[in-house]
Order: sequence, then structure tokens, then C-alpha cells
Amino acid sequence: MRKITKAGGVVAIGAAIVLAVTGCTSAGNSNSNSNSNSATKKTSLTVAVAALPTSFDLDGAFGASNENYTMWSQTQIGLLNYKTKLENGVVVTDFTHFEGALADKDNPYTVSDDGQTYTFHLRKDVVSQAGNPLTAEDVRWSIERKLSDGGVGLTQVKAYFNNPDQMEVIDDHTIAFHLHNAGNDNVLLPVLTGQTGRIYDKVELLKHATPDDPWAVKWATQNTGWGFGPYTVSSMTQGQQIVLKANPKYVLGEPAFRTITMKVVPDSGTRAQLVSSGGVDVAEALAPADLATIAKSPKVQEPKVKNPIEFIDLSLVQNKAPFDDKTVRQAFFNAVPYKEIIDKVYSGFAVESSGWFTGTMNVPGLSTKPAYTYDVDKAKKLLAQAGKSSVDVTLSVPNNVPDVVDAAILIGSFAKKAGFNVTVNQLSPADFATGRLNHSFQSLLVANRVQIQYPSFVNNFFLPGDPSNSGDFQPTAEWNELFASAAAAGPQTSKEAAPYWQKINDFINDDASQIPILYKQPNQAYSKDLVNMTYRYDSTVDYSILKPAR
Amino acid sequence: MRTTIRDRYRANRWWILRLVRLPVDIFVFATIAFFLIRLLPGDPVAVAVASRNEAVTPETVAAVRAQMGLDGSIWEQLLHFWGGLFRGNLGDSLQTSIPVVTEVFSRLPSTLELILLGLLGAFVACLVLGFVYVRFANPLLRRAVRFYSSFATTVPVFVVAIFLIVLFYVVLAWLPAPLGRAAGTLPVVTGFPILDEIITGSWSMLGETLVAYIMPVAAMVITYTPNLLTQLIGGLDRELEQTTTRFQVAAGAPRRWIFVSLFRRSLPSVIVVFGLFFGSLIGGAVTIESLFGFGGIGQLGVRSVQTVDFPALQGFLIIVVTVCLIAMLVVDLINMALDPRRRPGIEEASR
Amino acid sequence: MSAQFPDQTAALAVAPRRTGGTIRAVFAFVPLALVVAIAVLAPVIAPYDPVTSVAASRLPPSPEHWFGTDAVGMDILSRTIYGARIAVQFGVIVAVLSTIGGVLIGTFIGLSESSSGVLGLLGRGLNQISSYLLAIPDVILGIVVVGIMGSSDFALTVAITLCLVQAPVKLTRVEVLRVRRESYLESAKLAGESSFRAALVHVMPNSIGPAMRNMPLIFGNCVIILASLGFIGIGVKAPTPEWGYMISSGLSSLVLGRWWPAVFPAAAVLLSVLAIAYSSRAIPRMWPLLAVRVKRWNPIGRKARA
Repeated sequence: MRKITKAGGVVAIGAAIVLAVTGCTSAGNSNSNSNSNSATKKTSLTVAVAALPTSFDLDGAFGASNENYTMWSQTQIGLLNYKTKLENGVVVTDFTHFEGALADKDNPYTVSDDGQTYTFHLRKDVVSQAGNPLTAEDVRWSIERKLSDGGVGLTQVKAYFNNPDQMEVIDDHTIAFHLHNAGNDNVLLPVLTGQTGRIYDKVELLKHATPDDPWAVKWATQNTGWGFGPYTVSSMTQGQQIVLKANPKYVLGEPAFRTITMKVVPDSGTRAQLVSSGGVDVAEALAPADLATIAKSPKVQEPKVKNPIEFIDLSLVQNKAPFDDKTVRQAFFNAVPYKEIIDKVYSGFAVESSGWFTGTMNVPGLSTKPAYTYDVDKAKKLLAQAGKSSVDVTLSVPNNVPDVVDAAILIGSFAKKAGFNVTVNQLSPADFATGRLNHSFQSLLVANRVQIQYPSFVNNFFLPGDPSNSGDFQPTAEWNELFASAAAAGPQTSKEAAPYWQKINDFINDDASQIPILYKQPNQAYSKDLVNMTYRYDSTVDYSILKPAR
Repeated sequence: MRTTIRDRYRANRWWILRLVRLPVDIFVFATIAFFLIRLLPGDPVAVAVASRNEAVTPETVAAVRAQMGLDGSIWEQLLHFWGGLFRGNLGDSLQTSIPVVTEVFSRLPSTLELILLGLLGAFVACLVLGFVYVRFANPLLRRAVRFYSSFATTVPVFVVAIFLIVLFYVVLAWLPAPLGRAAGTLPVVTGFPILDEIITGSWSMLGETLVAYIMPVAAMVITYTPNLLTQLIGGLDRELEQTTTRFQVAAGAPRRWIFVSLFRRSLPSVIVVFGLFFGSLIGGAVTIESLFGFGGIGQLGVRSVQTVDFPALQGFLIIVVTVCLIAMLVVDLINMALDPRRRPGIEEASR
Repeated sequence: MSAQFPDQTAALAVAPRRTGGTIRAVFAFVPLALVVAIAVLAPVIAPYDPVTSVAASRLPPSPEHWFGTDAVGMDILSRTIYGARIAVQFGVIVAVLSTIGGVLIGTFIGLSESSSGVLGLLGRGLNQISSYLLAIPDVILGIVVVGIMGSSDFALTVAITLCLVQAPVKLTRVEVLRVRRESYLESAKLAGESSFRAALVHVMPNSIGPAMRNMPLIFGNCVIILASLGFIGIGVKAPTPEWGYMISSGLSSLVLGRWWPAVFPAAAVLLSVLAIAYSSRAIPRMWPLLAVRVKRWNPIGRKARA
């Protein structure tokens, strides 16, 4: 690697000489430090990642892993993007404001007066990675693909949009979505903005369709070039590396870095070491302790945000003893050492949780008080109220996320003082998923994130039978009433609706069945030679806006 | 004429029979593997639906199961599996939809290359130290060799590798970062990285790869030499006592011949251990490969265990076992060649 | 011959020394006894509770915490000491079971595989099964066995034994194939000894060498497999202090200079394997001494054997 860096240096110096000789128009401005300027004018990045993606197609994929999310975010783009704001040098998603991506930048969509028809105006002269022009039919076909068997499904909006017939292609660059009785709580826009909203090149994909596979899912899981995103995959060596090439026709402008080489370095400590020594430009998926260790390194910058959206979710399953008793659940939430976990396991790379409703949702005046704090006396008192002094608990965790395992161990160590004998049940990811599907766990701790930061979307984490949540939650009449009245009160971020959302937050916290115990900071580290660190809905790095410093 | 062929067959039966039996063994094992992996805890369908943010109904589960080709009775699945096996088709991975055969053979050669280099290095080191052990009477030297051999299996190979990385990359910065075999995309002809680089004449890449191999190969040599050495020293100690050796010495045979004979008789258990390590490393090299960003067949195994990817796991096990069986066959053949007394059926043949 | 010809020295190294042999042999067992003593006396020696968070996390070694603290603030010294319990519990049982089982099965295979009839068939079948098992990666074999038997210490012991018994089987078989053709066996046959007696008296004692040399390796391997099973999630449950899990979870930070969470348990594995290797080498030396004493002084003989 040292050799390579040297070679890189030689190339850079060569480039500097060329620059000086040809005398670019801008050369005068950057005269003072032409050497460092040209040295950072590199167009390729090396990134250390934990693993490679298993699929390039969200629709065909069975596993929504972080690696897959990362890749989909580089190769695909949808009608809309979230607007962003700069926060401590980090480009942070503003979840409540949209701008056009494939849709027109300034006038991406119009909503009918009754709020039931969304009409999107597409940009003209946009071509896909394969070179085919973008049309409204691409949009219609893409959504139909998502709704088909084996498609990702748009379950979040299925109450008011679940049928391809609800789309209407008005002309080549205009498409309308007709919703059924959508209320204030509709999340069509964020669903079309995030991972689920990507638009595909119909012409290119249909070239690879077969009678058995009319949507070309099989081909698309292993190939790119059928999207509109900033990068395509130019080569992949299984288990070792993947090379991305910039899409020169990218609708938002060709990325500054034309080549991204992602090298697999499975060990988090080694990834951290590489970025701090300059061996790579970006390291992804770092353990919190490793982030803390290299934080002071002169070559490293790390994004920190006010309101992270990735969290650790503690579920105490309502229909399994001893957690069928609300008082016992509350006692347990009082026996969790929140501050200790943030300090010891996360080395400060996490913030306290006030519940499901976060600051990013922009609900005015929402309380930021932590949902629970570690209070042994209170926990003991609650347990006594439930007629117990000692309770055995089995806390199930997936063993592939070390910080979750460590948090569970720490909970066990501290909950002992309140009378809980916690056994940490570490399971392989497959075994853990099976246990959730079969609803066999008594309590579980899992890493999760809310990609759609809308108050009404919280309901999605309390669907009965959903294996990705505790799954045994049964919405009561009170619960339904609370959500209905919040939606009726006004638009989601309005002053009028805010007190109702606060009520729901308090209700969930008091119910103590499933609450985020903390929110995690971004887990990437960047070289100081880069600007535009990102924090997005899917917590992936946006390589398309990353630029050399100065 | 006929009798000569039969005689030849008789004389060579010990290895011909083993070779003929190999496909049968593979088939039997593949069938065992088919059932074994279905005993694993975890359901691939659960893994598939885990990331879906929606209520999962029994219908959804059934639909995904059918989509994955895991519906129907286990016997139907077995018949399907056998059918594929004979056509050399092991199905598609549930995770990546890539044919399992492609998944396996794109990773196997690079693993084989690495462990062959590591183990052959250890074997050579073992022979050298064994020679030092019998050749020189210096008790300190012999003691040192013995002491080193007592380190067998005390330290896992990945611990040695990490120490090497810390020392030579982090502290001394003599060797490059553990970021795979080379900076660019490796050429693929046979799948064996070094061989491919030679074939395509990518000399600068070959240099990088060789440098990148220094630490992992050194880690394997340091770790596995004691294991081979314990067996060799044990064998040498025993054979030195034997009347054969004493007779050779007494008869004034050339020293070189005595050494060759001594090693020939002491090597079989070393070769068995070599075979054992070779077998276990095909799947087990994953720790060292992942430390150096190499990728390899073991990674596929770990991934398919974690996601209970049945077809990929089947393919992985079948290939690993096939390579192991071949390795063990080679071990037995070498041992029988070194020492004809070990050949089964030699009694009847000599009768 | 020249003085440096090695056969005399080699003979000295392996020949049992009669004079003062007992004391030397007993001393050879001190390292093993020490490991066992640490395991037994862990609650007395360990300064802290091994499964309670007692300080800030990732503290370097200090007078309060000699070995530092781990990712959740548990005392690494206490955990390393308690780890000896798990290691002894699994390692010793598995090493003994695998070696005894492996020698018996290996001898049987070696003696029977080239004979015709049922015995030959059985021998060849066993050899083949052993080859299959050997080829399956340890971790996968472990997962399957624990999956079938349910997660328990017993299931783990069986799983690891099944992984590690194959080496002694193969090693013994190869030795038996060698010994079987030795001349003294022929003479025993000629002298009219039964083949069973010949196997017990002549073949077995002459073929157990490699398997015995392998025994301490089984202990080390056992600790490593236990760790990898723990990593997959079917090993000893966290936060139970287990060396392998401590090493694998502490390994990542080594590159960043946080060496103490992995190095101390790794040293513990190394030292305990060396101790057991040292003591186990004394067993063959003890053998003739024991044989003499067993006749005269029964109780001690039994104790030493156990």
C-alpha cells in the first residue's frame, strides 16, 4: 500500500506540473498552495467495508442488509430526494422537505385540493445508466414491479395505494398517483423517496426478462446499469472487493469521485486503523469503541448528528410471562442502565432516547426527556407491586452485532440489583430471525432504524404479527383512537397535531413493551481530505456528493 | 498378455480401488449433507421475511417457501437435489441467486493456493528442523527444537496473524496494509491468483500479491510447523531406537542413506497431520483470509450458515468434503508409497 | 562412530530413568495440578465477580485491575481466572474422551480393515465415516450436533469430541498399519497368541505414541472450537468467562493498540496448553513406574492414574 501511495503521489505531482504548464484559468486562485490542491484532486476513493452486498435489486432480494442498502443507494435513485441541511459539517437529511430528483427540481409534484391525487412532473432529457431516456412509463412499470409477487411491496402505503391501476400516465413526462381516502397520516412521499421508491429503466430490464421471470429480477440481482443512480458496478470479486464507476449522465451531475473501490476488511478495528493511517479514505460500519479510539487521529473526521435515527430496540413481549404484566415491564425498563450503556458500550457515540418520536420528525414542542432512567429503587418498588422480588428473564440477541450483545450483557449485570436474573441468549442471525417469526422470544434486543421519519409511521413498528418487531403487540381500542385523533388533528408537523403525538409517545413509554433504549451515532469515519460527510435515511455514505477538501 | 494385465492390476489395486470409490463416497456424503444441514437451527424463509416491514401471514411464508424451492416433502427435495447433483447443478444460492457451482469455484482456487503455500512452508520448515534435530548433538539446539514443537496448537493461527499485522504493518510499517491481494482487479483465468498473474503477465500485480502473502503464509508456517514437528520428532525418536537404524549404522551404510531411510520411516504420521490440517483449513482458513481481506471458500460457508442458505451450504460442504477426501486419498497413497507394508490387500497379493 | 551421532542421546531422551524417576515424574504433574488448582480455587483467587461490570470499560492494566477491563467494564483478571474452570471442564474431558475413544477405534480399524468378513466391513465403514466427519468443518459439525441435541454442556462436549476424536483415530490407524507388520507380531502369532491378546499387548502400546502426543493439542483445539462455537452463538453463553470468547471479542481492538482484552486470555490458553503438554509427556514415563507400584501400593497407583 505504501508503494501505491507513493505512486499516487508521483501521479499527483505529475498532474500538478501539467496543471502549472497549461495554466488553467483557475490556477491563479489556488496559487498559494497549488501542491496540496492538486494532491487532493484525486478522482478515486478507497473504502474499507465489512462485507459485500449480496444483491443489486431490492425487489428480488431476500435480505435487506446494510451492505445491500449501501449499494442500492449508490446505483439507484427515485422521483424525489429529501432536502438536506449542513449540521457540524455533516449533510443531514431533512425528512420533512422534498426536492425533485428524477422529478423536476423546483416543481416535482402537485397535490390536488382533496389531497388524493399526486401528480409528478419528470425532468426531461434524463437518461439511464444504460442510455435509455426516462419516461413516465418507466415510473409506472417500476411501481408495478414493486407491487408484483416477489417485489419489495409498498406495504407502508397499502391502505390508500396498493394497485398499479391507481397510477395514470398522463404524458411522457407526467404521471399521477390516485390515492384512496388518504388522510393527514399518509406517507406516500417518503415511501417514494427512500429505498422503496427507486425508479428503474424498463427498456433495459425487459431485455433480460424471461417467461419465468417477467420482471428480470434474477438478472438484476447480479447486474447494474438498469437504474438512474450516480454509480454502476464495474467489477466485483466475491468476498474481496467491488469497484464502482461514476455515471457520467447522472441527473444531479457527475460525482467528483469517478471510481470507488470498496475493499472488504471484516474486522472493525482494522478498518478503523486503515482510515486513521491513511490506508483508505473512508471506513464504514465501525464499532463505537473503534470510532472513539481514532476520533482524535489527525487524519480522521467522524460525523456526529443531533438526532440520529438508528437505535437499539428493547422489546418485552406482552403475551409472555413475566412480561404479560405491565408493572414488570416498567420495572425492567427502570432497571436498564442507559447512561452506562452509552458510556461503556458506545463510548459516547449514542444519545439518550425519549421514545419512538425523534427530533428529526419536526413535530413542534415534542418532549426530549428520556423515556426511562436507571432507577433501582423504583424498579424494586414496581416489582414489589407486581408481587415479585426476583424475576428470571431470557434476553435474546443476534450474535453478529457486538454492541447489541455487549449492551445486553450490561443490562444483565445492572438489572441484577433490581431483582432481574437476566440470561443473555446469543443466537445466530438465522436462528434469531426464526425465533422472531415463530414468536418464541420472551424479550429481545435488536438494532433497527426508522427510515421514514414521520410521526404516523411509528404505527408501523407495532403491527401485530410483524416479525421485524416484537410482533405480539395487539393494538387496543385506545391505541387506535389515539392514532386516529392525531391524524384528524391536522398535518403531521403542525402545532395542532403535536400534543396528540406527544400523547402517543407517552402512551407507548408507559406501556413499556417496545422502546428504543438509545439512538446510535453514524458509524463511518472519513479522511480529513474529504468534505460532505452524509447522514441519510438509510445511514449510508452518499459518495456522489463527497468531494476533495478545498 | 492377459495375465500380465491382471498382475499389474493386482499390484496396483491398492490405489485403483480407492480412486474408483471416490465418486461413490462423494455421493454418499452429499446425501448425508443434504439431511445434516436441514437439522440446523433456523429457517431460511424466516431470514428472508425478517427484513420485511409488514405483518407476515402463513400465506406469505408459504409463498416465499415455494419461491425458494423449499416446498414439497423432503423426499421430493432430495430427488431434485440428486437430479441436480448428477448434472453438476447444485442450484442457486438463496442469498445471491448466483449458481452455487459458480459461487464455490470462484472462491476455491484462491483458498487452495493460500493453504498450500502455508502448509508446504510449514512442511519444509518441519523437515529442516527435524534434520537439525537428528544431525546435531548440541543439546541446547535439540532442546530448542523440542520446545518449539511443544507450541503445537497453543495459539490459534489468527492470533499469530494479528500479532504479525500489528508488528509489521502498524508498528514497523514494513509491509503493506492487509487489503487483499492487489490494488486492482485480479485477472481470472484459472482462479489461482498467482498462476493467473503469471499467465496474463501482470508482473506488478504478482509482486503485490507475493508481498501480500508474506504475513498470512508466515502466520501459517509459524502456527502449523510445531504440529508437524511434534509428529516428526516423535517418529524420529522412535525410529532411532529401531534395530533397522542400528543395523544400518553398524553395517556402515552412508550417512545420507541412513537419514533418508530414517525420515522415510518417520514421515507417515507427519503426512497424516498434514492431510488433517489441509482438510480442516479449506473451510477453516476463513479467519486468516478475512484478516487479510482475501475472501475465499470459508467465507461462503460462514455466510450460508448465518443465513441458512441451504443450496449454498450444500455446495460448500460437498466441495470441501471432496477436496478433503482427495487430500486424504493422497495422504494414504503417499504413505503407502513410502511404506508398502501399509497397503491393504498386500497380504493377499503376496500370497 | 563419531560422538555426535545422535542415537545415544535420543535414546537417553526417551528412555525412562529409573533413578529418582518417581520424584521427577510426580514433579511433571505440577503444571497440570496448578491449572486445575486455579480452576477449583477461582472464587478465592479472583478479585472481582467475573460477570459484573465493576469499572469503566476498556481500562488499561492498573493496580486496581491488573489485566484491565473489557468492553463492558468487567475485570479481565477475574474473568481469565474463572475461564480456567470452563477450559478444564471441557478441555480435559474432551481430551481424555477423544484420546481413549480414538485409540480404541483407530486400533480396531487398523486391525480389521483389510480382513474380509463382517469385521472388515465394519472397519472400513468406520474409517469412511471418520473421513467424512473429518472433512466437515468443525464449526458446522458442532452446530449440527448441538442443533440436534439441544444446547447444553453435554451436547457441546459431544460435539467437540466428535470433531477432535478423528485425529487420534487416524493417527492410531496409521501406526497400527505399521506395527501390524512388525516382526515381533509375527513371532507372537507363531507363538500361538490370540489376535485379541496380540492387539492388546503388542499393537496398542506400540501405536498410541502419536495419539498421546496429540492429546495436549486436543485441549488447545477444544478451547479454540469452543470459542468459534460461541462466536456462532451456540457455545457457552455470554457473559460466562470463556477464554475463546474473550479472545475473539477482544481481537478487533488489538490493531488499534488495545491489546489487553485479547492478550491475557490468549496467554492463559498458551500456558495451560503448555502445562498440560508437559504433564502429558510424563505419562509414558510414569507407565513403567506405575506398573511396578500398582502391584505393591494399590491406592496411590489408582489416584495417579485418575
